[in-house]
Formats: sequence, C-alpha cells, structure tokens
Amino acid sequence: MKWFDPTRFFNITYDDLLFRLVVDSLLVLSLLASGLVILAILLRIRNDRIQRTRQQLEAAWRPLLMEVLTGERLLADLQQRIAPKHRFFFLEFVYRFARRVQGQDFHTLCLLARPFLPHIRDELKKSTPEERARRLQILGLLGFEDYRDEIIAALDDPSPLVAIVAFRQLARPDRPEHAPLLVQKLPRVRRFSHEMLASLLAGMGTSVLPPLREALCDPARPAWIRAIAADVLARLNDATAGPLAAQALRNAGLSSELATALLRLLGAVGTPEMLSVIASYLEHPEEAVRAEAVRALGQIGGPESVPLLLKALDDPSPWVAFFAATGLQQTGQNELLRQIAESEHPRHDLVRQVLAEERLAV
Amino acid sequence: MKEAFLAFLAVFHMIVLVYYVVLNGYYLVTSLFAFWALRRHARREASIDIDDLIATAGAPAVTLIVPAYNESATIEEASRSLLSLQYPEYEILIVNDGSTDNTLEVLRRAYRLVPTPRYPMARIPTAHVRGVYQSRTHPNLWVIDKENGKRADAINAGINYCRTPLLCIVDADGILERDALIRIVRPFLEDDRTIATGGIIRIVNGCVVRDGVVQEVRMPRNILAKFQVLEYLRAFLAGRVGWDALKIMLLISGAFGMFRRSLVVAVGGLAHDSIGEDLELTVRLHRYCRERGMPYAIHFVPDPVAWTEVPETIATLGRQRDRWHRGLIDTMRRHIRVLLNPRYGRIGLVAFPYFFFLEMLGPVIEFTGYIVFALVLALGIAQLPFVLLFLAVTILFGTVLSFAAVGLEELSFRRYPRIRDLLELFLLAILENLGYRQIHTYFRFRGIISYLRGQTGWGHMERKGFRKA
Repeated sequence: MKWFDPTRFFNITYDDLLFRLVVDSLLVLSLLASGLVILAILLRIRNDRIQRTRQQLEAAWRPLLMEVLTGERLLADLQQRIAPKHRFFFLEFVYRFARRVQGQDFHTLCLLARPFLPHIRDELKKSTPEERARRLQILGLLGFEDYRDEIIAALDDPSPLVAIVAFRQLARPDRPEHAPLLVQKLPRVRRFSHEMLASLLAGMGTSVLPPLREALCDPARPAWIRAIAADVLARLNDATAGPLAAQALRNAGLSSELATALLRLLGAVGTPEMLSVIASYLEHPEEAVRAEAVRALGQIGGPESVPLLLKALDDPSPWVAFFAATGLQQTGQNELLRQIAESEHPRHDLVRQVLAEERLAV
Repeated sequence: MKEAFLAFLAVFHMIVLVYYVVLNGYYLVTSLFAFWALRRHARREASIDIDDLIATAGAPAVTLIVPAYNESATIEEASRSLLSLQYPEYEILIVNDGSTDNTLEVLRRAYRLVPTPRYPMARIPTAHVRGVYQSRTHPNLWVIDKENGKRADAINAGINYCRTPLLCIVDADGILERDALIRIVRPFLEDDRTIATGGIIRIVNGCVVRDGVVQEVRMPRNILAKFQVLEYLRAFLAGRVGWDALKIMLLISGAFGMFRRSLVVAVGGLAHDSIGEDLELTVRLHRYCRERGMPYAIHFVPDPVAWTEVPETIATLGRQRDRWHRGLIDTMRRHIRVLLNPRYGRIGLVAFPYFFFLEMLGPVIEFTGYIVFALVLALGIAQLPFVLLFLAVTILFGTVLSFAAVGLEELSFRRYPRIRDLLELFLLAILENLGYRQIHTYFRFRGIISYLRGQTGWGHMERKGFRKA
C-alpha cells in the first residue's frame, strides 16, 4: 500500500483539505492583519486624544493649583471643578506635585486631595496588584493619617509588590512606631533586594534598633533576617550591637551571608577585644567572608591587627589583599606600605593603587 | 527515478511547511505573552516611582564596561551620554582594545586622562594591558588601554578592573537614555535572585542627537536601516518580552546588559574565542546556576533604552549577520548537552531547541526552500495557484507578526511620535518580504558556510557618527 503519493501532493485541487486549509488561512490572516492595522491606528488616535485631554486638564488645573497654594483661591473652588471621571487623574496630578514640596504646601495638597481619596480606597481590594500598589502609593503620600490601617493591612496583601509599597510607606523616619511591625513583616518582602530593605529600615533611624537587636540575637530567626538586622545596625553604628555580633560569630556553622553581615557590623562598631573573634574568620573558605573579616580588622585597627593584615596581603583573593592594604593604611602603616609598593612583593601594584587613592582623597 | 525525485520534493515541502508552522506558531505564542507582559509592565511601571528607586540608598553601585575598537567617530558623544546618567553611584571603564585609529587620543583630549594605578580584582586571562588612565575632569571615568584581543577579551579586561557588585556591558557606539541604568537595575532590587538583565536596543540612525542625548526620535532615511527598525521591534518587543514572560531568556544583548560581577567572574568571564559572546555568556550563566541548583533569574526589561547605529549598506549588514550567525552556531555547539536536556528545565526543553532548530538551522531550510520552490515552479511540477497561495500564507503570517510587534510598540512605548512613522512601519512589514527577508536569510546561510570554513573574523563596521541637532 502506498502511504504517500507525491504526484498527488503537487496536484492539489480546491477539493483537497490542504488547499482549503491554505485558502482559509489566507483569509483569516488577511482579516487579522487588517484588524491589527486598524487597532493600532485606533490605539494611536485614542492615546493621542487621552494625552491631549490630560495636557489640557493639567494646563487648566496648574494655575488654579498655584492660586490655592498661594492662598488666593479656596480649596473648594478647585475641588468643584474636578469631574468624577477625572478624579484619579487629578490625584495623580496632585501626587506629582506633593512629591516635590514640603511643609504648608504639602499639607494644602493633602487637604485638596482628601475628598477624592475614599474613591481609590474602595479600589484597593478589587484592582490588579499593580493598580492596588499605585493607589496605595497615592493614599500613603496624600492621606497617610486617614488610611494608616489600610496601609498596614496591605503588608499582608497577596502580592509582594503591594506589600513592598506599603513597607516603603511605613518605613519612614517620621513613622518610628511601625519599626517592630516592619521587622516582623520582613518575610512578606523577602524576594526584594536585601540591601534595599536594609537601606529602608536604616532610614527609620534609631527607632528600629531594639527590634533588630532582638532579631540579631535570636538564632531561631532565618539567617537572612539576621543578616539584614546586622546590616542595618552597622549602617546606624549601633555600639550596643557589637558584643551581640561578636557573640553570634562565636557560633560555628553560620551562613556566609550572615557571617559577612556580622563582620561588617563589627567593622563599624567593634572594639579591639573582638579581634580574636574576627581573626577566626581569616581562614574561612568563602572569599567574601575573609574579605569582610580583613576589612573589619583594618577598621578596628590597633597594633595587634597589623601582623594579621600583613599576612592577609598574601591571600590569593585580590579583594582580601585590597582590604588588607586599605586596613594597613587606615592603621597608619603608610611607611610600611610605601616599602611594599617599591619592593618585589606580589601585591606591590595593589599597594601602589591604595596609596594613590589616598593621595586622590587628600 | 522521477517518482523518487517527486517524493523528495514533496517531503522537503512538508518539512518547509512544518518549519513555518512551528516557527510562526512559536512567534505567535511569544507575541501573545509579550502583549500580556507589556500591559503588566506598564502598570507596574506606574506602581513604583522611578524617583523612589533612584532615591533608595540600597541601589547597588554599577560599573559600565565599554569595549571600544576604532570608535573615534562616536566615542566622545557616547561617553558623554554615559557621564550624564541618572544613578546614585557608578563608574565607567572604557576599554580601548588596541584601536588603530585615534580613539585613545580622542578620549585623552576630551577628558584629560592621566595614568593612574589600578589593580585588577579578578584574573580572567586577557591580552596585555598597556595602561590605565583616569579622567581629571570626571573621576568616575577610567580608560583601560590594552592590546587588541577582540570584544570579549576587552570586556574581560573591564571585568578584571571592576569593583562594584554589578557590571553593565554597553557598546561604544551606543547612547543610553538618562534613566536607563536605574531601569535596568530595577529587577535586581525587586528580585534578589536576579543575576542578569537586558535592556532594549533601539536604532539611532535618523534620530537627532545633541550632547549625547537623543533629542528627537525619527525613522531612518536609509531603507536598510528602516527595515532594521522593524526587525529590532519584533526581536525585542515581541521576542524578548515574550521570552521573559515565559522565563526562557537565553540571550542578554552584549550591547546593553547588566550582570552580577561575582557570577560573571565565577564562570570565567566571556569566552574570549567566541564570536557570539553575549549569547554564550547567558547560556553559561544558566548552566552554572542550574548545575549547582542555585536559585536565579535572568530578566529582560523593555524600557531601559540603548540607542545604537545599524549598518546602512548591504555589505556591512551582511558581515554583521554572518558574524551573528557564526556566533549562534558556535554557542549551540559548545553547549549542545543543554539541547532537550530536562536537567536544564525550560532552557533545555524550550529556549535552546528554539535557537538550535529554528534560528540556527532555519536559514538552511529557508534558503533551500526558496531554491526548491523555484525549481518546482520552473519544472511545472506543482500547480501555480497553490504555490502562490502557499507563498502568500507564509508571507502574510510573517507580516501579521510584524504588525503585532508594531502594535505592541504602539501599546507600550510609542517612541515614534508621528502617525506617518506608524504607517511606514506597517508598510515596511509588507515590503520586507520582497527582498529584505531573502537577503537576510542568505546572510545567515552564508554564516553557516563561513562557520564551516572556520572563519572567526568580526568584519569591519562603518560608523557614520550621530546626527547632530
């Protein structure tokens, strides 16, 4: 039996399925192509119209807003002019201004936005995560006091994007009372950059110290949370955390992320008594941990650290050697460094760079 | 005998048919995902202010690595654009890869370079570094002058001197938009597992540039460059956005890509003997992480823009595409064990097979297809109406996909402001089937021949410089 007839393949007529399939595909594709062209042109017309409308509205609102800010016009005058369908756009307009002003002007903008905020609060539950996040951002800036509960509740939103927006709104120096809650809710924003989270928490100032010290000492907490805690405490130069970090470093089997963060903390607030703990990490298999240990040695300084730093200059990792040279320079060993720079020492180029950077800094 | 010949032709036609259905089906799927992803991206974009991100002290420091070989025409303008980027902390390392023109002189004059000690923090083997210079006018601008060793070697030299957690590879003939760096870094802030991100490449030919900034976006005047605008829109907005949504990003463009320094050093930098070093590096990063069970993510971000000049002559375009295809084959050969290997997840089962069967072998099928098609018609074997209909369907399918890419641009970024440009893009989507596509297929086919002949050269790329305001 012949399963395939090439002659027939090349002599397809309209009655054959393949022929009809090709014709049908041609029709469908033609319709699709025409549809896409029409859609794109309509999209362009629509977008241009929206843009024009927004420009016209903004052009009309801007002078009125200026008059409101200078006290020449009542808030209600402008509020009455906002059509219901332009509420959200008006809030975005006010939001952009509010980000750039402070004091009385900021307060006036919050009052101006106030009647419109309940509408976007109602949308917090039903929109997409991105839309919820945007609305939360506007509520957080223009109506924080009125919508504090909604913002706190958003920390438990199923979307991490919404949670991080809420986290950012609460992690502010003027909102210290939220520090314990934010430390507790860190797992909600775990996937975001840990450096960014540490930076946000450090921005809250000293109010964040007690819950972070507690997190640092608690071995039951995940290592990444303890690492963030150590990072923030280092940024805030929390001297009380030094002994806690030294104690934590005495425990074997720490993850390299946590060990690095603890050593960084000791570099910031450690004392010469803690050099022995730091020295025990100089032989660590991870380059990042050794580098941080050497950096901490240099920052704490003292005559005891000099031989350790000199030894670290021979470490196979250029990073470790770089921090050793920087450490020697920080401990005032410039003459020694100059000798190394002029010698045949394998790291003489690196030492030369450190000395040159010091000259540039001067 | 005749029957056997007919059978061969018929089977070949079936292969071509299957190839087109699979290829266009794949593009259709990625376009649909791209549509979904771009809508989501636009909403996400509005949900966290870019200014907030810039203000965040947690934004990691970045080193821009700019390999430069005979770039005297554009290097000053390009570096000026890099110096005006909005980013809290960044350094620029321009690596002069043994240029035979006056690239180094141009830089020396423009930025008052002085020799400055700087120690390499990694030891990836490279050609000899002759000197390191720092700018007196802009202390964050450094120039590494080295002997010629090709692009990958120059980038590796830059990696050696990089001291920041993130590095960003940028072409010397490119112009980054002012907020490009903060936008491309965004996935690193939003997802701690991110190890690499790529931005979109747009075409600067025809645009008006002043002080290293694209002031006015216009369609190029040159017809080849016009076709490439459409091609880039398709590749980035329909292709890579779709791949990102499907989590199958196998290519971070070497013209604008950001990487975690530690990981690039861990994999040994770029393969110095590779021609398609960007694809090769991305595949190697995937392999490194998957083979060690490391959680990781590689993203494409559609809004950070790098503007680049594209070839305007057939010869230059041919050399470029020939090289790209040789690079693709080279990477496929080096990492053949990834192909259809479940150990590598979607990368091994979807992304790599796409590049292998459709991108790498595609030109063989397409090029031979054109010849066999002509043969069948000349010999009068097939019925002309059916052949023409079949041809029309394949062309129309490709056109629909190009229309979709233009539609995605309209839906998302609308960089070409005039309605005339939009209509021109639609027209180009039809016209490119009447010559440009065939030439393109020929260049890729030629790339296969060049690869088999063992050619490893880069070919000369003419630079015209940017159009000033």
